Amino acid sequence: MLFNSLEFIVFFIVVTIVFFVLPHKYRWFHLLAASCYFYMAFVPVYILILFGTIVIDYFAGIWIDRASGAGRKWLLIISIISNIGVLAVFKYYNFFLDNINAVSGNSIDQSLLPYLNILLPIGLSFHTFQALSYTIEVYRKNQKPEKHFGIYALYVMFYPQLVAGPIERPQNMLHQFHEKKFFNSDNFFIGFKLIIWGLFKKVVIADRLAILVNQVYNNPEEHNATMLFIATVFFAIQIYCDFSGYSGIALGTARVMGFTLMKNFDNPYQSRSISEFWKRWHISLSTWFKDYLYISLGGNKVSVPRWYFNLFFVFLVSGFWHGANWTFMIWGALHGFYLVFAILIDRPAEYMIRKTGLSKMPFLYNSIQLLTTFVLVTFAWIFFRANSVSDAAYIVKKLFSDQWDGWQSMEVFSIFSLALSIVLIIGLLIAEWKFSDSIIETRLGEKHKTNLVFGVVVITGIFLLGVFQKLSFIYFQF
Amino acid sequence: MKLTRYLLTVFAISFLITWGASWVTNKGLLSSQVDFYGKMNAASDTGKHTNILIIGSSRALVHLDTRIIDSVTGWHSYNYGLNAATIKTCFNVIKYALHYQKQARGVILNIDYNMFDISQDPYKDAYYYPFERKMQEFLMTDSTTNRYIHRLSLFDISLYDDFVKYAAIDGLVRPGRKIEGVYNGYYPHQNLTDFIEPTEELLKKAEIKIEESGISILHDIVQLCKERNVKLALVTAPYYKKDFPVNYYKLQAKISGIAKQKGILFLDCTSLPIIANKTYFYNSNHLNVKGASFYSLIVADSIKKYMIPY
Repeated sequence: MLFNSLEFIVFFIVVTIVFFVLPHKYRWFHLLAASCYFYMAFVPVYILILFGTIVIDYFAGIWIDRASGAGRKWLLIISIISNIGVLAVFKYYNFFLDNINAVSGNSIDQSLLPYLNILLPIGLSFHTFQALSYTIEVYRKNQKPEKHFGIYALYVMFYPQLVAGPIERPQNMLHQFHEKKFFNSDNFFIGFKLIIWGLFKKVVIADRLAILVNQVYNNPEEHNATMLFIATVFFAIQIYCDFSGYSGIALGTARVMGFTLMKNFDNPYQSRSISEFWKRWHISLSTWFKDYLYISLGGNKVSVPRWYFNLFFVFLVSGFWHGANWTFMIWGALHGFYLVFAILIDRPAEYMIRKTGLSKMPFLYNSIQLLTTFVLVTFAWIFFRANSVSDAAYIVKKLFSDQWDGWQSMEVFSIFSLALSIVLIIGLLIAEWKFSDSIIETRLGEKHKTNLVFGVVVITGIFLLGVFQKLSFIYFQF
Repeated sequence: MKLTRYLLTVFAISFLITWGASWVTNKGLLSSQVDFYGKMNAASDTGKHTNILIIGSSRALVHLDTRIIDSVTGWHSYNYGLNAATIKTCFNVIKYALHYQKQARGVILNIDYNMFDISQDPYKDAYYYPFERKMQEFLMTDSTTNRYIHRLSLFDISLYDDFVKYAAIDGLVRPGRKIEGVYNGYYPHQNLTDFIEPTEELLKKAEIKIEESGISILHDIVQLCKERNVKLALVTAPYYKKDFPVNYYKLQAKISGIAKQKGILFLDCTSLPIIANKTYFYNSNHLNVKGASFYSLIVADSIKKYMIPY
């Protein structure tokens, strides 16, 4: 069940109405049942896997709290292994087998181990990380174990963020499930605006750009450098609108019922450095890696070479988290390299800026930083989107060639679509930069006319310009 | 109360604007005289008095010169050929056109080897909507799009893709626009010099997909023409150097069998002497204006004998 489907709208309305009609003590069950239904709309049988890990983590949390000494650590390790184990089997097993066979020179038929013919459970990486953050926080004594099995299960399965985040922390979510929620028109108002703005970004912008991006990236050799360049820039916008659109809908659906999820995006393309980009992009994942991996490795409180290694390693793992493909590893490695390189050139760059007087021209200086960051991030997206490393290499090679022959007419994407897309992208950048957050966060009665115009423009935009092909969200595959 | 008022106002205004935009879009599409919408509008123009409907894909569109057919037969023809049309789209267009063109006496249906793969039909439901208003019962459409939205007659526009929206704007802004050199729907391809010989690789075509449901639509077309007392002729235009997929002859035999059984004309021009002469082609599947004139003359001559009673 996709957020951009009529089924979801009906599901959401029914679940929300029943939620407020039911007495508080039954609400957890209602939300859990609704979340199970939502999850089972994809591949029903996979709920058993999810249930298995929920049981393990639930008891692990209680026993970690009761245990002391090495026992605590072992219980945490068991929890981590069981969660990562599921991830390894479903997401990485075939990838490892591919690589072992490639190294040993075996074909698929000669494989030493059999391939698994299974679908990846939807959102597996997201709920695995959310479950892990629970047991780690209990281990670190930042969180009391949840005694109510249903509430714990709901923490892992809460439908707005079940399949693509935000990856929540127990400190933020568990207490909210225990609190009695009352219908609040301000929450509904803000939630409604988050949902329609998220939907607008998904169906009006992301899905429109996807038509061109998919056509070009699925057949890179048939397109010239101009088309590859346009598709790459479009993908940078598409993935932002797709994922932040999903997150907005998730935040909005939860907010309508009175739940506050963590913000996942904060205008990432306004970043002036790669480190700032990662404070604004997929915030719940980057803070997860910072809190549970980077700091566990020692963070920056280690020797300088080790610090560089920690940074690089965390981004390499982040790339691997996104998908079992070398393209994602290269994408992660590129970001790790950007960060280490930025630290290495920090002083010489500062010296150059002082010498050239750039620091005295803030507009120019900011623009250069902004553009440089966007170019670096967009370059890395090539590897994220390409179907294979060889495709990515081909695209990079062609982009640096002289085969810039202008617009190639396409059967699926007209010049009119191109013009419309550019107008929409400019509109989006201005809206996100200048006012969308300030409008969305206003309460009922505040800035009435502005809110009215916002609602009308966004809903009308969805009707008039939406691409209703039921395209899935990119991050569902992770 | 404030929230209800806000939601009602926002949705009411949005619905009103969308309904208005939908109405305007359909007006634009119904004013268009080019491409798909132009063809559909021409088909429903009862003042056209079309006697011969030319139906098919681009191989009908750029091959059958209406001027030549008109001058040989003395009747009035219109070329309803649409790029990449499958047999399903052809059936829809025939039904639609026959409903309006009361003086129609004949249908020339161009048969391509790939038109029976109806899963590849590019003419989606949404393309028919402004016409469906009048033609609901005639058109056979997919059930893949959200038909219930259409039934509300409110938001057709949400089903239209950018191409359709652009066609609507074009129809509104330039309602009388016609593409230069198009004669009663016939679109001559002028290219006489740039034809590039297909490589061996290109000539090695995979097996074509012949769906039984596609063949069954052909039977429906035959039946429809019989019911309307309209003579149906099946034609196959030349391909350069007989560039056929491996099972083409199976299809050809099937069509020929149907034609023989139903007593209809099947004019297979795939063996004409011009097939080896690249000056008649602009690519391996399409004739240029010179080839089209030659081919149209042959078709016109045959259908004159077949369709027109003496």
